[in-house]
Amino acid sequence: MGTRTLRRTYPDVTSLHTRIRDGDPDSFRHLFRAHARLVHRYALRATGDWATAEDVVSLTFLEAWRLRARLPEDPDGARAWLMGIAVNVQRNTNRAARRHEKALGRMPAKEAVPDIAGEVVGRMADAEQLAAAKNALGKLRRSEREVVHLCVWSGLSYAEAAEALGVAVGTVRSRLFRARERLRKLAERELRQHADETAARRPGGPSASPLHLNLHRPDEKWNR
Amino acid sequence: MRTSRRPQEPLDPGDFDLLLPRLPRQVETALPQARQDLLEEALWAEACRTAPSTPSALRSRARRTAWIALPAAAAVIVAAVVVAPGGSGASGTSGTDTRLPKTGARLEPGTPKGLSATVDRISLAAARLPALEPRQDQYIYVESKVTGGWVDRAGGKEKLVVSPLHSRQVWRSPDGLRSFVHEPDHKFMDKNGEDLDLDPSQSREVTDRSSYNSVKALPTDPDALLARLYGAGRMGDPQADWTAFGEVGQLLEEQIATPEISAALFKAAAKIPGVTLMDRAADATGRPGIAITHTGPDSRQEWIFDRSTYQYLGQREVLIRPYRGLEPGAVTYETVVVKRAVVDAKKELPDGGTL
Repeated sequence: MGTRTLRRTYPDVTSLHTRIRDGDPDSFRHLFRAHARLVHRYALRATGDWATAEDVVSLTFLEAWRLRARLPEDPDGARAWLMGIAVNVQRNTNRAARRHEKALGRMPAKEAVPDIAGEVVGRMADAEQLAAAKNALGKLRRSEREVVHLCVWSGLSYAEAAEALGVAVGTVRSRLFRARERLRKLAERELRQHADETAARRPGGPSASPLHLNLHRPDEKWNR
Repeated sequence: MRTSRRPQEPLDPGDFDLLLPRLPRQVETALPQARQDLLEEALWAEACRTAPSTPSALRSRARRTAWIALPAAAAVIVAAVVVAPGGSGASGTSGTDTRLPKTGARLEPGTPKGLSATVDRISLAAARLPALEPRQDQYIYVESKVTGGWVDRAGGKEKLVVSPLHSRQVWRSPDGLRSFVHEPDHKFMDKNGEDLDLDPSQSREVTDRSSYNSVKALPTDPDALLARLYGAGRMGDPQADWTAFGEVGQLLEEQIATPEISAALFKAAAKIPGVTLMDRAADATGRPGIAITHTGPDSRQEWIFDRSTYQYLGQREVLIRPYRGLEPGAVTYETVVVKRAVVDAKKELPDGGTL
């Protein structure tokens, strides 16, 4: 490839969006540069898997290009708009992959960039935590999980999350509230079980309860 | 910490810190810059492929065009109901080939010698075929045999797996908005086929540039057509040449074009730098022929034609360097056209039956 153009800055962001809507690939490149990490962070937490996360990133931007006519004029609107697409891609990755099957095949092979040695070690440790995060949220309803992803982990405002999910701001607020309450209950239950377990173990030695529910332990089924 | 929360918002996201597992420390930088750059290049190239030909806001910039998004409906050469020579002649679905992915394809490059004469014959053959014109309420039906690639990530190492040759049938409306794909041996498609209709509210905004209607509106002047094929690319840039050749290849697969446009497409393709003629080639079903080829950074695209009638048989892609676990000479993609026709409805077959 090696055809990278110099980084240019567009002081007028509004016209950048207009250019993207008109189908300018170079302007679209700027949209990617500005938001790739946000989308990737979301995808990584939502999927718990590096390879899949990268596909979600590619698909999100392929969809964004396809739907570019809907990019809001408001310069600050891109984040919420893109995250809305990312959520849809994550909801049904296979459907998005079908739509962009050929393009996805042309994306760079994932082994193309060798990992720095330290990064690999870090990733192995991170994989457990990522899986744990995904597992914990997996106990929520999808609608609740999505607001946690957007508001808590991606740092979107309520208004942005509402825009991304296509719901009212009040709905985002109440879903987040419910998510918090549910997570509290789950945490309490786990604490209780943990306490029961320890109590049970004290007289009888190390007989681990098969019902042990550990929010912080990666569940195998999430590890692809 | 997140400090931008307005005080009246009832929930502090910090509330979640104690309830959720700590996030990995490297997550913030999990997408290395080099990786992000590669993705950016690939997405930009995709955007260029499908950029509109006359972006209104881009008056003074060096502009290029591209008009094909995804393979859609319209056949270039075989513009009538034609059963490909050597095919079984059976209508409807074809059986699945269970052979393993082919390897060891010949890697010696073709030659530019004889290219223009051959392309002239191919264009003539294409121009002589009767036009196949669907009404706006009809569907273009294309039946082919294809292989498909997918990436296997088991074991932590990426490996490109090529499926055996299998049947694929598509129905597409002339405007490109409605389509149905039946490919039961596809890795993850619905076995009963899938509707891939576009949301009409979206399609008003984003027109399908690969639809029959769009292809019909293409210029027949090879140079004007060539400019469209290159999109934003510059002729002579290896990547742009590869892409332009591939654009025509996509049309050959599952589209129908008027005889004039078919002929123009071949003449335009012959002007792409690096296009060569291969005297000995074979399509996915083993039929021998000649091939028009273009070699890119990783692989070579081959369009295969009947040696005596110059009729299009199919195409394939052969690796010229190792890629995702496959060796040079591996055939990563193949397609042969079995039948093209115009039918009245999705799932309707040219012989009058239904899927």
